[in-house]
Amino acid sequence: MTTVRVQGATKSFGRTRALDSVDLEAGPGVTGLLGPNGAGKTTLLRTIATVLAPDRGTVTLLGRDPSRPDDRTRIRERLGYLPQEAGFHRGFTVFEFIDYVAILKKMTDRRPRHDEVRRVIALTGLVPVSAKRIRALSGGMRRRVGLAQAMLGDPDLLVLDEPTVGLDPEQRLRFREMISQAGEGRTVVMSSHQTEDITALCTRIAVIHEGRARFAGTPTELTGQAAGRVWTDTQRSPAALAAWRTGDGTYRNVGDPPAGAELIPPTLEDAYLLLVGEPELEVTHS
Amino acid sequence: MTAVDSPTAGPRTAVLRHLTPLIGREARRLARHPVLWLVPVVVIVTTAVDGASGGRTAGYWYGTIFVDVAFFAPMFVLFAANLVASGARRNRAEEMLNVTPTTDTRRTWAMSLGVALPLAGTGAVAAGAMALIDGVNDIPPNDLQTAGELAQLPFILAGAGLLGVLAARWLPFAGGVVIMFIAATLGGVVVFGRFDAGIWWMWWSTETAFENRAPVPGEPWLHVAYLAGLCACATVAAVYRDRTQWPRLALVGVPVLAATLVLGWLQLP
Repeated sequence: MTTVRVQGATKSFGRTRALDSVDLEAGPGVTGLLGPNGAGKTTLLRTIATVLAPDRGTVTLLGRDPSRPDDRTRIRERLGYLPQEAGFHRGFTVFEFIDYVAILKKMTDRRPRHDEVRRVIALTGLVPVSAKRIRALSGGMRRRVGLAQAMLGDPDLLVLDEPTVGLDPEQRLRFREMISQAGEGRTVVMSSHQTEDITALCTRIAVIHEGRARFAGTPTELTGQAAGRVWTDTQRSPAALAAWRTGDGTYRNVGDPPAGAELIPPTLEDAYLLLVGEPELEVTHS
Repeated sequence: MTAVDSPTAGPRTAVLRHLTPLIGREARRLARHPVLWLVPVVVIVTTAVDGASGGRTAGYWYGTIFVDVAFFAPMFVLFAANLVASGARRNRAEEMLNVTPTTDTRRTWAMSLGVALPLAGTGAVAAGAMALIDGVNDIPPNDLQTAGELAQLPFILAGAGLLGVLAARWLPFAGGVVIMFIAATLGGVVVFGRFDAGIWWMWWSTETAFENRAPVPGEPWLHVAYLAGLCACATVAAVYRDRTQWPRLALVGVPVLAATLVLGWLQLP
């Protein structure tokens, strides 16, 4: 079952083409978007979250067309969204803010609404700070408030833009658990710079680069693309696209290996580096 | 499971059920806004430093309530309501809140009503307090307000709040509300300048002299209707601000504006 279908989506801001004929499909499970800064991930997620309409191409969400106002409202009834830069009414307490969003999500009956607010507060580990004003919270805690509001009402489609930014390692593990649970039977589309998060959570990955979808498939398929292109050496290899010294003193090289190189199994990060092949990465072996 | 409670009532009832808690939240946000808390501070300070040459009699409190509600409070209310209405934009929360099934139009309805209703209630309480003071003490006839003049108080307060919301919607940048304030003030000065009383900036029309000036002689009840029309104009303009709503803005706004202008003309002597 396809929950999100983006076909040939193109979006420009002035002369900058943020999306260039992007195709993406996502169904139940967690779909991750990987890509460097400015690649178009956020624009794509904002399109999926009904914030932006593409200049060209079609978007179908939960079987509906978000360009129609009625459909858009129906989609939003089943959508949870955490933007990259989530702002809050800082004078509200955590409970008040999430309750406010719950009202906007048309949860009108007070008692069940408050029960739902308490549920997402507990889910995101915000119980100790639920009576605190948002202005008094750390960045990581605010991120969790953003996550909590997105998860209100158990949405069928959850769109999360860089949800792990600002979270400490323990919070990230907790977040993974939460998203993994949310992805059981529902569709989660998230972007992240953290390839570990993507590896741990995603059933499908799309790599976006310069506004185009450069890869779409499973993490195993992406990792497989780097097979035979990662090797260790006692020194930085001139043939490597990227190379770095590891904890045991050897160099991990990614690129086209020289003959006789000691190949090792690639990771998702290796495959990602090879795919986007940024020129600045080559600086590492100059 | 979706976010929405399953509606069992008709669409109109469902809209009301949805808007009511939202109106309550917006009213609470306004009531808690620090700028609004300055009103009692100003009242306390001004009454404390006021010499009250005739003593703090019933007449003194009668006049004090009137001046506070009709003159000081609207200025603070304008800025407080604007800060509340522009809070989502200033806090960069708009994107998150926009992606909810509550449309921008409905959120603005809730905001406008959440601002206007409690302010109108406060104005009504003030008018009631003045009537009560008059009932138990004889206020000198020169100071006494007619029912039509007292009835203006709720609309003056609500109107100031709605002007703040309007500024947040149409002038969504830092300083927008200051531009609105200056425009409203200059507009008042220009209008009042047409009368014998000379240039005198006041928010209300009354037969009663204030500081030896009677700004506008006119028909108080028609002025009440005119103020109500201005409130309606501000609400309609704020609610239908979005470009997609401009046909509706024209459809609803033009008759409301026309009626308000007619009332404005009729109130004049």
